[in-house]
Amino acid sequence: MGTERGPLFLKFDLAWRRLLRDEAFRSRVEFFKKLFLFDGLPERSVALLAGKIMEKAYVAGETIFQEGDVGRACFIVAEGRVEVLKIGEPSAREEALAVMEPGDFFGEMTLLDELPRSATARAAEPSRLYILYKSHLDDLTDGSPRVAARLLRNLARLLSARLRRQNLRSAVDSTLKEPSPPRAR
Amino acid sequence: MSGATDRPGAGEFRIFRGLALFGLLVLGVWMMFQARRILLPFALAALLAYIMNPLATFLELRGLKRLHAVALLYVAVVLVVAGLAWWTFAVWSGELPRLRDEWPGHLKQVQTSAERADVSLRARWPWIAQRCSIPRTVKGFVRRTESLVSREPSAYLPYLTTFLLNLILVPFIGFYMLKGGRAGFQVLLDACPGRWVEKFLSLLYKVDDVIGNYLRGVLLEASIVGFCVGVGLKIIGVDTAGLLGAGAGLLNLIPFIGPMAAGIVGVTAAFFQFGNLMAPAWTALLFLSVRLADDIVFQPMVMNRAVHLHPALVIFAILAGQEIAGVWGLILAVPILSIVKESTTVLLAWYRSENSRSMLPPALARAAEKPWVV
Repeated sequence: MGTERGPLFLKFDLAWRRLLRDEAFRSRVEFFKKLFLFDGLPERSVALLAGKIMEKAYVAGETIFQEGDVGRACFIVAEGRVEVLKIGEPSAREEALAVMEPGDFFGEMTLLDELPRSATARAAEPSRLYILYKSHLDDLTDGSPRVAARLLRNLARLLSARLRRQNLRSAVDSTLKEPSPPRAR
Repeated sequence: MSGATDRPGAGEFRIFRGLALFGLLVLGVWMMFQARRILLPFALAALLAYIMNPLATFLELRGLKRLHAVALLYVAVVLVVAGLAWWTFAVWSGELPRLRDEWPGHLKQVQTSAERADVSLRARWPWIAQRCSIPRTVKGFVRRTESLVSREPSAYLPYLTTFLLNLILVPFIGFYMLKGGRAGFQVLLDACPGRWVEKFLSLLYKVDDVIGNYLRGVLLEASIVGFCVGVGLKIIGVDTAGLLGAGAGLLNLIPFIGPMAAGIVGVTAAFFQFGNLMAPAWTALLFLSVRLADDIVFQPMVMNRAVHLHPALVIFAILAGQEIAGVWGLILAVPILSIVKESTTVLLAWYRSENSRSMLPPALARAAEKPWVV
């Protein structure tokens, strides 16, 4: 077939990639492209963000942020596991809300409102996180408003989905708590 | 509440760590101040790397390895610099010998004008002439200038050696700084405790923003001013128009004092060349027009995101910079002041938000009270 590439071309392509292309950067872009947060964003915009986003390694047990801290960044798990904890009302002890794994992201609400964190995040094991800072989103809003709108729409969809789930959970909880009507005799 | 990793005595440890960090910072600043003379090539290399970084990133985002992107850029810059050097040599080789040949005539003219002014002063206001002698002052200036111009070329050798050394060192160090890219920031970020990461990034991005905006703005503005002055002086007919234009552009890097100095040099040059008042008046008008255009048109266009600083504070910073680090202090005073101001603003904003525990704005809080329908 005409579209099939010969072994010579593949060898040349591989040599070209090894020589000039930054494969580590490419794999980083590929990682970001798979995230829901960047769903539908043009590859160039994802590459632009991938070039700006910093990463940091955390040791097991290290606090990433504390409940009540004012936040300005969203964290994306590249490697490891992160526990999201919240202080329970009656017990005043930290209760695990969720465990974040590679590809998951958390703290995204502060990209919108810069308000105190609603939970604590702590590395459950040695982890590597990407940090999407609020100014990255602001730069995107200034430079490519349509791309920023897409990203914000993804965020809004995510918050809406979480709200629906919360609604459903509350409805189920209140149904379970209601005393059953007396049986007619 | 403290984190699960906190241990008894963690508060004292944090205070000790904070004091140790502050001590290290003070020590670092003091050491840099002591070694400020050898820091110049590093500072210039950092400046070069900073200016070229957006281009390297542009190529990197298109899939090129950082090393290749930087090498490609260096080749392009060498070609541009070689072109500019050739052009500058072409301009200077014509203007400098003429300036050297005409210089004795200009000095003679200055002395004659001073003697004429002295005679006129003695006739009209003898009490002023008794207190200050214009010809004596001018003679002193002429003697100093002549000794400076008639120096043996070997007298300039130390300056030339330093210049050539910097010409080699700056691009060399700059290459490695540019190749490293964000590696330096990454080292700092890795050393930063987890909970301080957001504050550190907040400061880093703000400083980056300030330096970037300032450098891009100021270089563009200097080029526009230099070009306008050069073209204007050429139209008036001033011989050393190219040289004076380049000088005006460079001097524009120093706020307030620089443009004023460039104007004085330009008007003096026109006065010596034409020997009348008309050409200097046109030159003064040209510098004034360029200054106004710079304030009203160029600066708002190119420096729209620059930090607003009080003029008195800027003048104080410039004078302090000159006292500490000479010419480079004059040029670097304003960006350093901008960084200090913006860093303080960021830290204060963080302190306020941490202490006020700012909640939802009232309108949003009211809207959030309503039940959601999804």
